Amino acid sequence: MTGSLVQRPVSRLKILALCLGTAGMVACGVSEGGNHLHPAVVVAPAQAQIRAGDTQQFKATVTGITPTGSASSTPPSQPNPPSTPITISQSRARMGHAGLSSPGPNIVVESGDEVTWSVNGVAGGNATVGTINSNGLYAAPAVLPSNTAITVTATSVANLSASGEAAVALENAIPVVQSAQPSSVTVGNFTLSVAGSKFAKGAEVLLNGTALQTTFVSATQLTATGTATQPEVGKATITVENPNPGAIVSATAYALQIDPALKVTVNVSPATAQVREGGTQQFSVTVTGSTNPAVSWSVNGVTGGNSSLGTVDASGLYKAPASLPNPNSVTVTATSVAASGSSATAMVALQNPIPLVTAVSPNPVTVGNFTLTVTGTNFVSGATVSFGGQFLDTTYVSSTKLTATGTASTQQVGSVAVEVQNPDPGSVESSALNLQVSSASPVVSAAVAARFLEQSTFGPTPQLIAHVQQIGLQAFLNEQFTAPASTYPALVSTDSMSLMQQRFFANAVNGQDQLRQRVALALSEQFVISAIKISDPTAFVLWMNMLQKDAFGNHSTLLNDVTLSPAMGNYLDMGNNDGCSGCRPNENYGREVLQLFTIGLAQLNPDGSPQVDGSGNPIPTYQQATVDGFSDVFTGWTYPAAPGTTAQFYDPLFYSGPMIPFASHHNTTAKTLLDTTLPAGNNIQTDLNAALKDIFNHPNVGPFLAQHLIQNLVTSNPSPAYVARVSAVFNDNGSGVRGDLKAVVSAILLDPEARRGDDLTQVQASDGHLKEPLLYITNVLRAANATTDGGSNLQYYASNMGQYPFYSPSVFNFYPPNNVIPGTTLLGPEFKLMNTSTAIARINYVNDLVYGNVGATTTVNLSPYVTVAGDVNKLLTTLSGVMLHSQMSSDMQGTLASTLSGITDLKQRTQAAFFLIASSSQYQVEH
Amino acid sequence: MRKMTRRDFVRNTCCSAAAGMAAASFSRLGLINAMAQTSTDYKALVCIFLFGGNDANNMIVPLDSSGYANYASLRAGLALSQGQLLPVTPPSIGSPFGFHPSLVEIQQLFNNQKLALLANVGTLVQPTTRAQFLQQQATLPENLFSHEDQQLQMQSAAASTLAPAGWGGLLADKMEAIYGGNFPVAISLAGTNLFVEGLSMRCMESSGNPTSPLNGFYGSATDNARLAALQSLLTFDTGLSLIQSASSVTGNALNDSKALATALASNKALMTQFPTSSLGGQLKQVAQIIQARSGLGLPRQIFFVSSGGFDTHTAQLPTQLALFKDLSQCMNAFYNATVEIGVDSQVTSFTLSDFARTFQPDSTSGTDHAWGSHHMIMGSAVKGSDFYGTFPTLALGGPDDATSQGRWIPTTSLDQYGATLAKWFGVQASDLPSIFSNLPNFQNPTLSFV
Repeated sequence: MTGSLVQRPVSRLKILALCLGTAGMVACGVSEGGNHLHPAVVVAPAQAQIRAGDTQQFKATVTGITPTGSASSTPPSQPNPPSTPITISQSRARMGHAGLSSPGPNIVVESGDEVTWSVNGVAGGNATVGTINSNGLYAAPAVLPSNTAITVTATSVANLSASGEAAVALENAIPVVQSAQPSSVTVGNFTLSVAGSKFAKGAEVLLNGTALQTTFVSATQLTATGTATQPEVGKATITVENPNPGAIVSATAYALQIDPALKVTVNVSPATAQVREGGTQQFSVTVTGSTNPAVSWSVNGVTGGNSSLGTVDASGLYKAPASLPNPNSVTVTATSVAASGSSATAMVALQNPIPLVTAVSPNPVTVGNFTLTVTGTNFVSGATVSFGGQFLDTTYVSSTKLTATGTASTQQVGSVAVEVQNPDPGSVESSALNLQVSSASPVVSAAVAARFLEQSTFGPTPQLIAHVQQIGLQAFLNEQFTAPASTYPALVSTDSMSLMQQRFFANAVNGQDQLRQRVALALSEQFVISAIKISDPTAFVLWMNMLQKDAFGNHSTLLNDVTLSPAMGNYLDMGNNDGCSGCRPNENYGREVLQLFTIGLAQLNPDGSPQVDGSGNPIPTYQQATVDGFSDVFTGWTYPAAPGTTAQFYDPLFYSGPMIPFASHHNTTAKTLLDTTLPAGNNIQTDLNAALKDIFNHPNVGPFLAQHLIQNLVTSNPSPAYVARVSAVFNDNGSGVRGDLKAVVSAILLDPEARRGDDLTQVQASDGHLKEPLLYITNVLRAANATTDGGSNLQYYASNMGQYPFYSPSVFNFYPPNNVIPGTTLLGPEFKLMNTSTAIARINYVNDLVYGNVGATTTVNLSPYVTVAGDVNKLLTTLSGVMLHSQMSSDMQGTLASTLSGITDLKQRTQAAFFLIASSSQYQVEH
Repeated sequence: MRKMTRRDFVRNTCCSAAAGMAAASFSRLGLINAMAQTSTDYKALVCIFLFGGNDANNMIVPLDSSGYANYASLRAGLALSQGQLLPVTPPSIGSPFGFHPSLVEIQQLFNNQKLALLANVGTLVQPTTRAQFLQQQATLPENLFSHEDQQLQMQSAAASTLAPAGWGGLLADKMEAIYGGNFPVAISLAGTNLFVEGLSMRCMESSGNPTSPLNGFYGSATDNARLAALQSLLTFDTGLSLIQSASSVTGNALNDSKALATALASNKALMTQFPTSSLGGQLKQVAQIIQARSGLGLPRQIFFVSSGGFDTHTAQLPTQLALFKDLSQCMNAFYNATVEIGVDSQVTSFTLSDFARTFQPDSTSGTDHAWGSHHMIMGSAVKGSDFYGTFPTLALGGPDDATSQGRWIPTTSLDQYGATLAKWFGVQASDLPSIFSNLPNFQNPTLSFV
């Protein structure tokens, strides 16, 4: 924005006006009376204020000089433009007149009136004081001289003594503002560079009319510094004022943008926190109003905090101190590095840690007074132990140990919860650990209870041993018969079988229904399906649910449920077995249901021994014709219809619900079975019921089942008498009922031959059975107080031992019931899985469990054993009580004791002891 | 089955599986002076057991026009198409046959004289005709058509399922005269199987890596003490047989796996590639152990490997398509490995299976349990490119059918099959009946395929 100053010529009319209207204007030449004429020069204007660089036209009027004409007092007439150019003498040329240019309308040229002009006595003036041409046009200098009072003189050429003067006061020019740099400033100090023209020394830059500290750089540039304030935010006017003489502000201005100042703020989140001793809290910070996001952290004003208040690092992570300070709250502050006055604070309330109980000793305790040692972590002075909800007199020993005294009443016999409560601030209780309270007079000894649990569960635990001691074997069985079945998750066909496998382990280790699961596992090894053929895990969910449901029911129900199970229908081809006339039905289920599931190949005596004919040969239970007959019965059944579909023969695989009959695909010929011949034309369901009844009533079923279950639960080589006793219970449970599985299981476990080994002196050479991999893995986990969700690796350990859960290699199960141990005449079904690689796999499993881990979600807790490890023999008897029903032989104890005494670290000693026992053949073979 | 008489089995010899037990008297088994071989005269037998009962009726098929037409008509939905069969012409029969289309390498081995086919072989007590079978006038093997019984009988060459030993193990027992070492002669890479279990010699059975190490022992004093305690516990006499047996298996496992690992460590890596199937893995392990035979000091070796899934009651066509492809590739790879090792004339492999399957299909695209089957013998010592034994008449209810569904009564017994291999292996003719108890019932104790 530049101002423009229009040069406005002084018009002659104005001079005349001045002349006429103004007294004292010598230039007008008005005589003052009299005819006395003497030569005079009058210069008009007589005074002028002229700004630097501007021009001023002076006129000289000469009077009293008669030229060839008369003197005239009349004002000069209108100028006559010269008809011929004026010849300018040399002296006139010195006046700087351009000469040939037309003189302009304000030039008065009169002959006889010729004057010579001078400035401050200098003809024509000069650059310093200004120049004047022969026509009296004065041009002020661009830069004022030090004496700004200038005299312009016109001297008559005709009479050199006649001259007139004008007094000129030179003034500074009107400055012009063109631009400023920068174009915007923020509230606060600034430096501005102003460009323009006609700046005079001493000129000042004005901001909204107020002068700034200005430095004169040149006539075209000034530099000014100043401070913009908040009220000035917005557009500010920049002008320049030239100083006196003629102080004047530029007409032109520059619009400067003044922006508001940025304010720095800090924000910390969360604003409050509760942190437990030893815990941490991550704070986050935001800084606005600065390009520098850095903050410095402090606790209670101490940069970075310290060990008593807690520390805070550069990321804002606060770590609570190891012990609570007093008072137990601190402030955590973040201060902006860019603006040290800006900060934010969070309040931290410190609390005691959450206590954890890992072991209680002794466990069990007997009714009456006791002193407990509670082991764990995060105990704080003032912590109290609670026993069954009642707080005990507690002594703080260390952060990992408390002792407490109390009394257990007879009402508390059984499991009682022990917890630890830390005091305020942040008082909280640990999770509970169960303490067994035994009555002073148990029903059975610990050893008897433990051995019974080996046979009826997936492994004894100290708590369960104490429990069985209290209530006895029969009562424990009764509890187990009514314990609700463990569940399998609701899976879909696209789920992985690993979910089934993991749940198996979780249920076996954690479930209350130990015996039911043992029996279901045993039944699954007699009535076999395999994931090698069946890839849909929903089949297995339903299958295991069925076996668990039927485990303590009637065998006839089990047989029916197995036969109509779509899983079995798929596995042994009964599903969609077509009895079309002229077709040969599939024989798979017809054969194996007899050979493997119910009666076997040879007629048996009730004691399980094969009947022989006159030549001493076994008597087959069935012929090919029998297989044909059953195969014909098992025709016309198909899978249930999936929801939303219509049932039809050759339904696709669907596992929910029993198989459904289609009479039109049922073989209607007569069928020769075991003890029955079914007439032709029978209804499909009638045939099925009759066939299953035919099997169920076969005398082999009792001894066949008894043998299998005894081998699975108790011993691989039962005496014929033992088998006979159990068969008898199968035949009649005492109330005239055949096939009562609950009665059979009771009979097996309570039989004197099962209980014989409770007395060490009664153990016989052929007693016992090798723990199959699934039993071995779960027993070790339970003995190690493991916490598991089934893990993600346990099934691979089982696979390396030869038993990948649910993946039986064939319908004969992982091992056959009549497997003979090589080099002996003894049966050892589980020994089928015992070879070079699997034997080492078993030991390596224990090694991983004790010294490493067997999966991220399985943890073991040997601390109850570590508690007693200070005394090697006490450690061994404790482990023997859980793992060998207190029957560790003296030479085994001696060898172990001598090895363990050489290990002084109690945890390592315990690990070695557990490892050596768990990997021993003495432990692997239940006896 | 529920046989208890195994307990009553009277035996003259002591338990064989106990660690370190030396050979007892084997006078009952005969002297083996003909076996006084030098240790550079090496031989190995490799038994490839096809579990489930392989339907050999689709393994080898008549390709002469009337033979094929008959086959196609009777096998109906299970018949393989003529154009897909891989032709061979056994000179002893003079008419063409075709291998299953998946048996590509088998056909090549056959045509290159490295493989022979033994037709219609199975468990037999004595030569049996259809009439004798139907009228129950012949002594039959126990529990025909029962998987477990037939598997055990094929492995033991005994008519009774109660045999205490497998014939591979009995062959190993015979090696005692020429082998004084402590490493097992008979090795199963397919877990525990009767075939390799003898009466006097210790066998080795593994279902995974037979050289897997014991973890967690790093040589510190504590580790050494712990290992010593573990080993010590294995030697205790607890008075309980099952504990002793478990200790025996474990003790042997620790020693054998270590000894084998050491011997295999000096092996050069085999160039031959094996399929990555279970059978391929097992045969590769066999090849590596054969490679290490000098390090193990073994002049004779007997191996057992297996492939499963042959019990094709349903879906037989796709199942056999895959199983035979694997079998063919694995057997071929193994043969090539023996060539690479330089023992192809000294290693003879042979197949066994529970039984064959009904020629007539059932209503679910499969077949049921049958009897006489066809088996293959492979190796450079084999007189290949020919069939041996007598090919059955493929007629339902025909002269070779025990029933009317095409269950062929074997025309060659398992005893003869095994005896032929045993003789090649070095057993004297007079000793053969002690291993193959039914052998005297047959006119030709051995055949001529090797």
